[in-house]
Amino acid sequence: MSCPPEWTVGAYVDEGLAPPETRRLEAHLVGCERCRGLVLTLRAEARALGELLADEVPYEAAALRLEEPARGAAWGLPVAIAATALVTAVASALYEMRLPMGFLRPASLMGVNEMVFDVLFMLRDQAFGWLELGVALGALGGLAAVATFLAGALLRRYAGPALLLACAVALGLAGESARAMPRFVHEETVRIAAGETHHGTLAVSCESLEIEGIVVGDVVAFCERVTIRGEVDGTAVVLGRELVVEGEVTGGLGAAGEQVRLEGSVGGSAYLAGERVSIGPRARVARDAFLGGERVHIEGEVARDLAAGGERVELEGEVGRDFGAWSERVSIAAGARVGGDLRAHVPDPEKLEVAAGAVVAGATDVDVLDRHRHKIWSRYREGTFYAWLAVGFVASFGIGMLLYVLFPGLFAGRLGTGRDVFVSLGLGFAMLVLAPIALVLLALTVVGIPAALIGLAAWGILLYLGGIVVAALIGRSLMKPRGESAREFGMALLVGLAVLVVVKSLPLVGPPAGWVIALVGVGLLVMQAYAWWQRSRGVPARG
Amino acid sequence: MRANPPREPTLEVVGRAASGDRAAFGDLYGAYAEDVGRLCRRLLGPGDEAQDARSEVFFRAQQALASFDPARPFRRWLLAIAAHHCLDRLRRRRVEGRLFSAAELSELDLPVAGPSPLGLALARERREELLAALDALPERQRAPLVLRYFAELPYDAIAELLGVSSRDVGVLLYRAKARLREALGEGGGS
Repeated sequence: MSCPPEWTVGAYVDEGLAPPETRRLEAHLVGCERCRGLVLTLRAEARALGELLADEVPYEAAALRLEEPARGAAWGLPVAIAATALVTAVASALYEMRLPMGFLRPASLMGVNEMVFDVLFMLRDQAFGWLELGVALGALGGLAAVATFLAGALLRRYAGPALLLACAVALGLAGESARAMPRFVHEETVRIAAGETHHGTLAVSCESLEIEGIVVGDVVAFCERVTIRGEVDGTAVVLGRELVVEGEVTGGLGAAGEQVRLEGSVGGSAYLAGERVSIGPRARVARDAFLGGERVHIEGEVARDLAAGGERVELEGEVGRDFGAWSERVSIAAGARVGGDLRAHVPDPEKLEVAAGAVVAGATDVDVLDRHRHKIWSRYREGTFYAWLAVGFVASFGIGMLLYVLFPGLFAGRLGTGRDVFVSLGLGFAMLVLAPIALVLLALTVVGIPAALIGLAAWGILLYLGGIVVAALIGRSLMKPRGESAREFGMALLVGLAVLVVVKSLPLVGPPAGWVIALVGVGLLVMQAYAWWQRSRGVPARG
Repeated sequence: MRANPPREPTLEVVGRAASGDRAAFGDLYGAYAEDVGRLCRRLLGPGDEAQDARSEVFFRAQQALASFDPARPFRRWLLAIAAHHCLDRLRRRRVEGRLFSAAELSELDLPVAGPSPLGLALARERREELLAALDALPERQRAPLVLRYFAELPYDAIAELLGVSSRDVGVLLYRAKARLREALGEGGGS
């Protein structure tokens, strides 16, 4: 006799068969071990389903639990943090330098300069070599992708492979575009001989450019060596290793190279950058000079302002107006003269040496540079740093647990998608900006001053709590706790806080990461508060 | 962990509630609100509707309390009302027609060799996945599953609620369980 179908056995287990069918099946069961086994397993299954369906999960929360709470945080947070870190790094670097030359902070350029030129000339000379560079960059990207993949695999299954794929595509594109780039056509030497006159703009890329005659027009050159002994009746912008101007440039001069030497005269302003930058004894800049280099040496004359930055800045010549120097060491030799003020930005006052015979007509102002660049690293060598880290960790954990016990609803927020991260971040940022404005307005009413003070405290606490909320989210995303018990939450919180503590103590990335995380958390809290307010008004919450 | 099933209310409480005693009905509400809410949630899926349905079910139960037969278990009676109401809502959701059309059932009739029945019993620790799979089931399969294993209604009661035969209930249950097992199998792990 053949066995009955499974649903019949199931109906028997569920007591859903009519009496005659029940009797028939029971008769079959006596002789069929397989079906008896099926009955037992189906019974176990029915019990398991009953328990599952009657689970203690509150039905409102069931929908929340199905989704990983911080899925979106896996990529959203790193992107937000990286973007913020980049912006703050650029902004603080610009602020710190206060140099008109922007991106060049010569003091930190030791050796970098030469490398830059090596790379530049290599790129120019070997168009096909670009392909290799592309491969090298691709390999770097690949490494980064593997790291991202490992991190991504922890948090989200598919983010890693997607990034890996993106990197592979980018690598392919880089290789292709490198191949498509036109090769620079350049001659070995370009010479404008003495007595010769070139009309129009002279744009060259070559091994060596020598101008002994006259160029009526601008000069743009990208060469290993540029020598101007004649005259340029226009502006000259030159890029190369060895740049020498012995003649005359009637317009402005922009030069960036390893060695930049000005021995002649410049009718406009001079912007010179290089490893060694010098203005010779007979040289003259008719307007301002902005100089940056590892070593900056001025023997000639700058008619108006001079701004110089570098590891060493030496002035032996004459500056018509103000002289501003940003350097590890500034020396002003006897015989030098500054027509206006002297402002020296040095690591400590002793690094400014003004010889007895030097003349500074205006005021001398010494600004001691904050070397927090070094502090960034040195703090890791101090025990107190770790002690405070530990104290902060324990405090956050304690407060987080207390909050969970008292107000579990605070932690109900989710970052299901990357978009959620940015929405929360935006909300948090709005809070960051709007709250102080609101508080100031409140304080203006005088009566509102106590309320404003309380609000200020609440605002600070909110920023602090934001970090804890995000830590809990990350922890839960990593640990995937099965229940809502305080113990499981505590484990998740521990893990999340540990991750955050490490991220926040990283150099450079740490501070912006701290802000991003706090603001995302504030955004989450604001959204929770809004949802709670809606519910209290009787508007049902969205599932 | 299974919450302790609420004790059957004494006939006295039900009687008082039926005669309009608000406090007594409040007791009944306190004892069964969670069960009814859970049933609504399971049948209607995540969202606000389950909460509305729960209030509605208790309102209807209050109206119908006079007709409650004290010989029958109260929980089952109440959950049957809840199931009836939720299925009504599901039908209303699909304007185009009936939840359990004959055509769909005849397709289901075909037996398919599914994964071993042991799967579900052993996979209790993968609760989240199971619950997700449960929510993903089509309504016509989820309803009998919830009515049978949560509300513990007998086959004929389920059949009546769904407007199908008792035999169809068995088939639907079989298909629902096979789907859950499949979902667990796909979810990876052993």
